[in-house]
Amino acid sequence: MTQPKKAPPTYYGRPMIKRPTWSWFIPLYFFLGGIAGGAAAIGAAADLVGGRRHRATVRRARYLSVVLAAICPPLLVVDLGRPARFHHMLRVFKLSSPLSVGTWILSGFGLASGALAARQALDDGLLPRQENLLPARLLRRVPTAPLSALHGLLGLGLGGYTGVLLTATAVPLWAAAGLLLGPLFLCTALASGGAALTLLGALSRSGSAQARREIAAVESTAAVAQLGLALAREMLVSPEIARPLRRGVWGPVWRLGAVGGGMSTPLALRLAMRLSGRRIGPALDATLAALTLAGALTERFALIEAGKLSADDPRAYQALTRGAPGEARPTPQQQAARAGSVPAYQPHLVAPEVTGS
Amino acid sequence: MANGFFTDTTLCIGCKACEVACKQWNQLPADGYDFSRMSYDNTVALTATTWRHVSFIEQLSGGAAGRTSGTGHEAGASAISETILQGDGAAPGQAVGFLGENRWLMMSDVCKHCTHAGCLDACPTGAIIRNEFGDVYVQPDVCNGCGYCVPACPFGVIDLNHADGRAWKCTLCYDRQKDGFTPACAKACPTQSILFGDVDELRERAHVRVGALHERGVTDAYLYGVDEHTSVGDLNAFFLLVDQPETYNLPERPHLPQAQVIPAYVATVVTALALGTATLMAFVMGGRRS
Repeated sequence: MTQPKKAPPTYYGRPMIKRPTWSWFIPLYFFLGGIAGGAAAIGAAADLVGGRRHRATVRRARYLSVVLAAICPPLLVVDLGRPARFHHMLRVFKLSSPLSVGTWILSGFGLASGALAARQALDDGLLPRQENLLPARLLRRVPTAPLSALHGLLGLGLGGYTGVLLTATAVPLWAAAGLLLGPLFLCTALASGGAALTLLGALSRSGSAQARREIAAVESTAAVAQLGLALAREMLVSPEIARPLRRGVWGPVWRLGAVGGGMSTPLALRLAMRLSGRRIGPALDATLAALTLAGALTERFALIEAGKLSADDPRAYQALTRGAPGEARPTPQQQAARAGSVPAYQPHLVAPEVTGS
Repeated sequence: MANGFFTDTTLCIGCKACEVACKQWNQLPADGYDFSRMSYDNTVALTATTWRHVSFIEQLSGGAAGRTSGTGHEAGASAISETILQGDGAAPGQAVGFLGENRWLMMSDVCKHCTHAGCLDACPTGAIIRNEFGDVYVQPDVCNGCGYCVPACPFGVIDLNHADGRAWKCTLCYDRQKDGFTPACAKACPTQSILFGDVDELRERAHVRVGALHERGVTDAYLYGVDEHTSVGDLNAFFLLVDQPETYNLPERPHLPQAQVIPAYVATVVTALALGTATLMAFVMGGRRS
């Protein structure tokens, strides 16, 4: 085995690993699930410490998360090869599989969203108010504060696990990002959740200006972290592996759409407005929120589709695996020196056939 | 204690009997009559319906088609004709040797049944298990076709069969083993390039083979998947190779995708705590201001 100075050979340029089989339902789920999780986290914080001015925020967050929590599981089920067997995910819990962890997070999130939305609907007078009705009595007993906190934590989990899920694959573009994808997806989730709440608030003309500014502050904080992580990822991943995100279709989509349009532009505009001492009105706020949402959607699609391209590229996988940690295997000479003596191979001795054959 | 394969590529003659035997025993459908136009390898890769795949690597000093990057069949074909026309110092009938300067490498690829298997760790339904023979097995009655094992395999082995919606790969002939039979491919191999048995014993045998090859001057011979210090660990289906792993489309240092899953969880939780605190702070400070 000679170690060449030039690039190692490929097998007729064929892929070394299989590309993920997921359809566009999956990036769409990452996007919608992220919004639901982020909105739930903001709603929980608003519920716990936001006071009266955030009543509308809490209401919007609960309704938004229950709607999205109802849309997301069907997206995932439809993408299965055997959709009727979706419940097989619920027979095990495996920490080694982020998909298993995510299944349980999504299930818990759905239940918490349902309970909180039902309670909200009851308080809003959208459900029959008969005091003696069992569901109403049960719902009134729901301890909203702890449930909100749980909802928020599950929401953060829902936003972040998808990044870990991509990291724990052999796909060069995802695996090379190391520990950054989980945090990046979480920041995207929080930013897009806040953006969705802002947009809904503008559309329904609910919530005070003060509440709106506070949500915008959360959104901006998440966007700053998101931008930082996206740039860190850019520096960490070597050029051979990052190629599909730098060239071709997804290069401009990622750079101009996700990083430029979705993360940087809203931040830059907010900063410019603040420096010039002007307040951001509801209309501009909603526009920036829409931009953030479009950026989040673009980010999900660009990272997943570019990941598929990097899985097809044997050079990218070679770059990833050559840098993997661990000692080198013994040299051919060391291996040859280990030779002992064994009897000649006789198939029937190694694997006994059934008697009589 | 595990059963596995030792695939000695120096004995492989590229007859594809293993591919055929595998398909017949496991009742796998044909993949069509497509010509890859790159070599005698028209199977191209392991798939959900192809669990043994014989690679053909043509290394010719004239065009060096296989040795460099394999630019296509044109370079390879011209190299072969050049070699044959000029003789290249070889007697007729020996124009392309197996282990000389111009050589033709063949390898019967298969699921590696890793010590630490990415597909097994990734499977969210528990469909992928390690069976009583120490092999990685997909239970077809449990798999729901989520597809997460597909990008989790560091060797690109397991794949979804879109016709039936489930993930499939080599079972190491679980059914035959239960009845005390050798797996179909090893049974069919006419040159004993594929040996089946207890992995520890096969490793001993493989070391003897490496020693013998070195004595006879094939000093590039080495074992791939034995004494590996990677996160994937040793392979229950290991190989004797005479060129670097990438020549055979194998990764030089495979790594277990789940090796970084715990740190990734921790990084995400830390971020979640930081962002959660920031969100709470934003609302608390906003309350003080108003």
